[in-house]
Amino acid sequence: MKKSKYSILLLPIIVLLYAALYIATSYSVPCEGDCEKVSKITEKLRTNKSYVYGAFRCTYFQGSDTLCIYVQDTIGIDWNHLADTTCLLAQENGLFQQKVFVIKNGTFPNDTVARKTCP
Amino acid sequence: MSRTGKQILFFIFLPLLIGYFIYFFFRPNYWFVQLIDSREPLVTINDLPGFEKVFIFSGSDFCWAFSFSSALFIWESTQYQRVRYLPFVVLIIVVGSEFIQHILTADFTLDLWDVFAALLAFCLSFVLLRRNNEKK
Repeated sequence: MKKSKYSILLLPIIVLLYAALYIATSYSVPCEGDCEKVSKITEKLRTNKSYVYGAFRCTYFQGSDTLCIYVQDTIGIDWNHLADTTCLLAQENGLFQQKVFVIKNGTFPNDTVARKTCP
Repeated sequence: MSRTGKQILFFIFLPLLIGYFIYFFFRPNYWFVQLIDSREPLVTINDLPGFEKVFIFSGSDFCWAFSFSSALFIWESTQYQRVRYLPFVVLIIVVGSEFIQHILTADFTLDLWDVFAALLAFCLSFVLLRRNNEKK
């Protein structure tokens, strides 16, 4: 790069840009509303169930009524019962008529082992 | 492409891009990620083994510190004179940035891996850019 006497002006610009990046990566969006409800379902599902990775919205659209429960491929687990439990937990948290999909994690294409539409 | 152009690409923009991807795929609950796409993380970070957890949490810090140090060392190479204390100032900023988070965010706990990542980033950038530029 050509040496220029004006390149000193670049210094504050560089510092400001990186300061902005630093601030942007310092604050996370709080998990409120729907995110909080789904997070509570994850928390309760994972209690004593080490094969459950977590509950997530299957789509990112606002107002989604789908719940994807990602699980580790484990023999001897009744996945339909897990879907029923998810429905109960969803209702406890004010989420009604949810479509629950229990999905094995790490498989491609996704392997849905149970599905249920909650009342 | 000129030598400085390559340095800007590989030492400034590439680490920033890698750092962004780490946030995009593994830590999407940040507003600057949600500006582009609101999504769930690919994995639950707490379930990951130690090394992968360190990679996700400290990798992005490493990328920022490396890119920042490199930007300043490349800027210095465009000056008529060396800025004598620049490495010292850069070191203070990259390591200090880890400690200052303790004041900025209430839920922050100081992670020594982050400090180590920042130090490593500074050292790599210093050796690859400043020392190399000195020799030329």
